[in-house]
Amino acid sequence: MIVFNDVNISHENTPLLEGMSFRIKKGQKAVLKGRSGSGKSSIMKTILGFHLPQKGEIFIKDIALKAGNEKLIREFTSWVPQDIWTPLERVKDFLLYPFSFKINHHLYPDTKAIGEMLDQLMLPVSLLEKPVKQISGGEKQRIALCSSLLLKKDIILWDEPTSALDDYTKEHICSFIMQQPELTLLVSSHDAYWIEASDIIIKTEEYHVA
Amino acid sequence: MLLNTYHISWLSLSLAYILLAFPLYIFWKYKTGLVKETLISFARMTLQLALVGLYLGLIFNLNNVWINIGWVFIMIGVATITTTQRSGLKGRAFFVPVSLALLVSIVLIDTFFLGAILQLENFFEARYFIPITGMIIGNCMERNIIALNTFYDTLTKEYEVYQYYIANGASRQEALRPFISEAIQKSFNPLIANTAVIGLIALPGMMTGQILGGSAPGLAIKYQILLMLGIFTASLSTVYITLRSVTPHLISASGILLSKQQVSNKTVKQLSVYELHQELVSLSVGKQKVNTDPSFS
Repeated sequence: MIVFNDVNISHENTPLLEGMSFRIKKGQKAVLKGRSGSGKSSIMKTILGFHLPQKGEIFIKDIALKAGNEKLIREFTSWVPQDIWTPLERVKDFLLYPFSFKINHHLYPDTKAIGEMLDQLMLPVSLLEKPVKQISGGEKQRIALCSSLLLKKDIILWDEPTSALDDYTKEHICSFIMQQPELTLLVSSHDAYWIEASDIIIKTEEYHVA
Repeated sequence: MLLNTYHISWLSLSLAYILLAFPLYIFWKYKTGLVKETLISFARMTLQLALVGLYLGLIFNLNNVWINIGWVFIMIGVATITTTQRSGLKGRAFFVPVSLALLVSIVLIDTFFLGAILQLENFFEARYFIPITGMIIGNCMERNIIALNTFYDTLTKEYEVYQYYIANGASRQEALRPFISEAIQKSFNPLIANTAVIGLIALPGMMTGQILGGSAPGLAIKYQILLMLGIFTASLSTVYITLRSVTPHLISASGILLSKQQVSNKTVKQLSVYELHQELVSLSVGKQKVNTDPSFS
């Protein structure tokens, strides 16, 4: 699903990562491990086509990542960044906003599906009617994870998805994700739960340009 | 119309400047550093209004359709330059969308206001056409500056959110909707709040002027209501057209947000005719831009 062949990535014209190679197969779960600033977010943004690699090849679902292909590749991906802001007022509107996009219309989830997914992410359904301003950063992030899962894309990219959560919730969400055989996942995380449960560990520091 | 307003002689007007003595004294006593600025700004105000008085006197006397239209174009030009300067989004690439947004809004509202409601015999009658258009342009400019500033600042600060929506399947306009929403909220909240208290804590300038000029309060109020409605709709139309048409210049085809410097250096030639055309088509048809451009993100 995700193949990196000797890839170099720069950030604002400064070399960041060199000689990255890895292969994530369908259904595999991979974790990006490394300290802050070691390029974890840049790798995800490169996969999404927001940056192009300086060198090397990237294939997403056998499609080569190059200028002009970004849109095609983004049809298979769902990404949740670490910090999310929204001017939308209600939590429900925020959760459902990605389903208002033309290409996601047919994926619009019913109340039952939303309720079940919120339950797996350990969020109460009553949260949906609250104003976004009243919920915590961790809750907002989990609402975004909920949208991301409901989009049912082939590849999920999550940047530090559980950093704001307590251990119990972390463990629960992590084991729920690991039980989804269809899902190909790449997360960046410091948390032992993800690192222990993943099939592949990619240590960004090994490729980091000092 | 018989004008029964009391005359103000130049001598008594100059005496009114004595009023400034008190604020200036306080500014000086508390070492606020505002004395010089105050003197300069009041001198500028006096000079500018004296010139405008002369101009308008001349323009009203001539009352020539083409001169009146020309004057409105000058107002649009000045409002556009002020908007681009105060938002820091300069360059010709911005001049075109902002001035077009103002022009379209003015044509729409003036046609309605002067043509359909007042049913003026001469649509371009200087006494109506110029002050009403001027007040609408001024307000549109204020809203547009706040909207553009909010739009660009939020986009810079929350660019990852734009990418978040793009990465989850949004088209450019779909991903920008929350940012347009924020810009509209920030620029229209003050206007909505003002509208709600008008007449209670503030008597609007035009109404006061009309009453001083000898109009019956009932008529002055009708004009004021018309003007408030016109300003509101024209402002929204200006803000909306501006925000929808500047986005191709803010974000590159590959999805990178350009800096204000890069934006300012863009010239009309570099501005992709294709993209501008697409935006205008999607605006007029009221549809989302379809993904015909493979490189856009």
